[in-house]
Amino acid sequence: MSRVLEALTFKNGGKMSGLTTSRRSFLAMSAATATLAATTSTVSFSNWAEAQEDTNDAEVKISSSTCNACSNKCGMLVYSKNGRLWKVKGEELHPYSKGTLCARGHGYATIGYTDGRITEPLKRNEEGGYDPISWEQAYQEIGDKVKEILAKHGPGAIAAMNDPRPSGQFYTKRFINALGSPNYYTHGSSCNLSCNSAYKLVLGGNSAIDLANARCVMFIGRSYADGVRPSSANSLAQAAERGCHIITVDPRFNAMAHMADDWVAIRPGTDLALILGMSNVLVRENLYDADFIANHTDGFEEYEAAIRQYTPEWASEITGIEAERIENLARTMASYAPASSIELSWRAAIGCAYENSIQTARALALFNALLGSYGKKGGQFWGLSPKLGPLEAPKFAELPKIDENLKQYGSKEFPLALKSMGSASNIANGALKGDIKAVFAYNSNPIMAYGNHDAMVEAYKNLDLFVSIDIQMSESAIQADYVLPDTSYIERKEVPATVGGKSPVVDCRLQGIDVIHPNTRPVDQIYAELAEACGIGQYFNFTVDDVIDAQLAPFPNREEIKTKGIAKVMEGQFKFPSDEEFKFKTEDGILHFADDVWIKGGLGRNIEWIPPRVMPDTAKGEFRLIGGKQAIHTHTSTTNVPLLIQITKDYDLERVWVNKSKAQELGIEDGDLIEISSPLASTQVRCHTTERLHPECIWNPTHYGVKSPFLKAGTGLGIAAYDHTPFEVGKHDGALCSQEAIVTIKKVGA
Amino acid sequence: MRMKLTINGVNGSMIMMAGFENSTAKSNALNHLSLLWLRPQKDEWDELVSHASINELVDQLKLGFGIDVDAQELLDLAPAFDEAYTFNTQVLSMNFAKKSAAPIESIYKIWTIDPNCNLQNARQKGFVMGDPAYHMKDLMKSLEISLPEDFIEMPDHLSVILSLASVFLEAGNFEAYKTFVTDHLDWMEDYQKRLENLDTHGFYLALLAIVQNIYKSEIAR
Repeated sequence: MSRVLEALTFKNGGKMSGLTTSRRSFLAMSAATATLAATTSTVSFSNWAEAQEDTNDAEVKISSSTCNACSNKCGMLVYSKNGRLWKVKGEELHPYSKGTLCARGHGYATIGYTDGRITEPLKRNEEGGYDPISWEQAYQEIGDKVKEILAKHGPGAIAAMNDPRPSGQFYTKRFINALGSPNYYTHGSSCNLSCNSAYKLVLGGNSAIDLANARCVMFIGRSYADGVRPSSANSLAQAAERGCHIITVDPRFNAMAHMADDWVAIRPGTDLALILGMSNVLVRENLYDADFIANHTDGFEEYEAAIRQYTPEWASEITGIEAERIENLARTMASYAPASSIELSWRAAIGCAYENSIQTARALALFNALLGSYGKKGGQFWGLSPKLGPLEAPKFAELPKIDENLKQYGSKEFPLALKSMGSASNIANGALKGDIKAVFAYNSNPIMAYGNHDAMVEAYKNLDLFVSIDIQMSESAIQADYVLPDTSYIERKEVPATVGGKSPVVDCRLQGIDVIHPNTRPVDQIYAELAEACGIGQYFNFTVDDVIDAQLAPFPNREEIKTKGIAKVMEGQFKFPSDEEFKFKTEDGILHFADDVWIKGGLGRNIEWIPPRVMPDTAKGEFRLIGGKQAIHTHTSTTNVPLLIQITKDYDLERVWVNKSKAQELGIEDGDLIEISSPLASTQVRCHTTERLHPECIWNPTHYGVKSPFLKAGTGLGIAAYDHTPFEVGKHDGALCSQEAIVTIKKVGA
Repeated sequence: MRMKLTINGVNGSMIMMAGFENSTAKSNALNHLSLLWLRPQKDEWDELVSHASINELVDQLKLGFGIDVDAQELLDLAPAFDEAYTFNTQVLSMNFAKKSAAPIESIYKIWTIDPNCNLQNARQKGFVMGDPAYHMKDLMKSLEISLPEDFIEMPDHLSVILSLASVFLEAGNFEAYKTFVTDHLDWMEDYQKRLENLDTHGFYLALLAIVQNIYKSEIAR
């Protein structure tokens, strides 16, 4: 018998050859007799399965977590059996779920088990492929490279970005700041940077709509039934039932529009003109809340003078909406004031879509002030904001002071952009210019989501170091020098998070299931170990539990939060302020209708019309390419979830929408394969023809067009969001300008 | 490399002749096959695919299962260590989903047959840590067999299955062996389809064909 086969027989007599000990002990058996005594009954899979079924209820454990399928992070209960996921449901206490999870939440919960998880650290090889390496090697090499970049270029050449989740946000920011760099970014530039920047400047921070008491609400681009937060969708349905007048302004009859009293199919990119026109009506017809303006604002006279030029007739020319309808919209909203407002929106038309998005959001915030809706029941309000406890030395070493001359990259070019978000899209420009040498991307797909794919690839190739921390080989991971495998969110405990509002909660993701792949690591561990390798380990001498203890210290019910994962805080403390008590969240507590702060960002002291960067020439057959979410997906992060992509396939959801009349003019029928062309690309996709779309645009669901050759589920479906969008961030705020894209279409083969 | 190995079909009479008298040969062959599906280490791999070892494997397959494999063909297909390592890390891993095919039983079976589980993927294929994995975990726990750390959450990896089948034979528990093989090697056809859709090395297709023949021979008894 050969030495190999001799070695293989070790279990028979406990014999092991010297071939290799690790392999020979592949199955370490301590009781051969147990194997011998095993009966068919013990070994049989069907017997085992029956026994599992019988013992089901007793062995199911319930843990509280928060969903990771989108940025809402709704509360969820994770049911597990033997450490395996068994069921998920919405957490009743959580203000966003209130007992309900959306379809995405249910489908995404299974992502940890999908065939296609990254299971070990990977290093890019010379052929452009990836080789598995040990964690130690990955840390060592990344640490050495970071030290080299720090020595040559300083900390300002390193950036880190993430789509914020509790631990990811905390550790990513602490890591980059510990390196001495201010370059921390969220995904905001491809989401809500434009509007949130405007709201910070006008209001001091985002307000929330009091849907429970609203009598009239206008949504611009926003759809609670596409970008779903279950409790908001339910509240809207209740509001509609109650008789609240709902207006949806959207070039597309979105999934929420059936709940609306009025669908205003606006020309894309012209929402600012509509708001200016409606503002004009309120001012000239004295429909504004003069007392509110006198008590809580300044600069109204300048505003009043500026707004006079934006008549409904002027707005009609730009928006394509009849002047009389614009007047009626304004009058209707005023008639319900102050329980009336424009919802602040999220991404949609105001978040990052156009060059004028920040100005649109500014006009929107001012319009709501005209209605006097801030601080009022049924209007806009600021809820309670629980404050987490501080992280104090010596346990949490004080971070090094960042050089005062070193500013967040992009903040000089885009001074209006919210610093807590920054422009992650603009990091590609930094890479192209050689200003940025290293990027760490956590739970983030910048190549696919922060700008035109090809432009981003070219930019990121310029980096000396690109590290992607992810769970699957995304379009960004396949461009990275190192890919570090994260656990999925249900597999780990995370630092606390707060959810403000009328009835705030503090939540804390608990580990809901066993770790699925043993060589993956949770984000907190990855960053702490990376920090050690980069020579900044002293700032991470603590555990997640230490953070939890410190941050929950101010709450009397901290033990309940720790054990249950969620609890209400500040109960019974919310009330709407009286007019005397009300203050905006701005530094001086008032809203400034005119403000010099805008000038530094290239905007006027007064509100004014700014056109979008590009407009389609309809006479030449051009369309604007717009996009949006579907209720079952979140950007590109869910397209590799088999359960969710199956829904796409079942209902042909990857098709782009084309206005039916326009389609007929071009000889295109529903279901036809069409070619979409622009100076950047030519792509083919099937179309859905419908009258529920403005004739000057094409609508593309922005989840598809998977480009990573490794992602399996979504391959071959639809087109990518920004293939036709030139990479040019907004000049006022650094946002993506996702809908500044002009295309032509034709039927394939025509 | 997409060469096909010549494997003479399993002959029922031969298997009857082989019977359990050749359980040691079966066990040796299964264990050898088990090692070939693991991520290779240089010295070990060189030995596993050496002329002598492959000849031994072929002998054990014939003796144990009545399967005729051309040793020279198998030797010709056997990749050198670097090639085997690359194939294992690129194709037999999970990292590269669409371009890989991990030999993990759960992926090719319905995730759970428990009617009490109402998770959306409960009756779907394509997910790890399904019923087969938990059955394997529980089984090994009851048998006091522990797994290397890398396989703790991959208890239904083909290497583990082949190795445990070998253990049953070596313990002389033929009934348990038969039940186990019947339950846990019935996914080879689906796995083969996936492997064939990739740029698969002929050696691994050959190994898979051998495992398929073993399965067929055992359920035919």
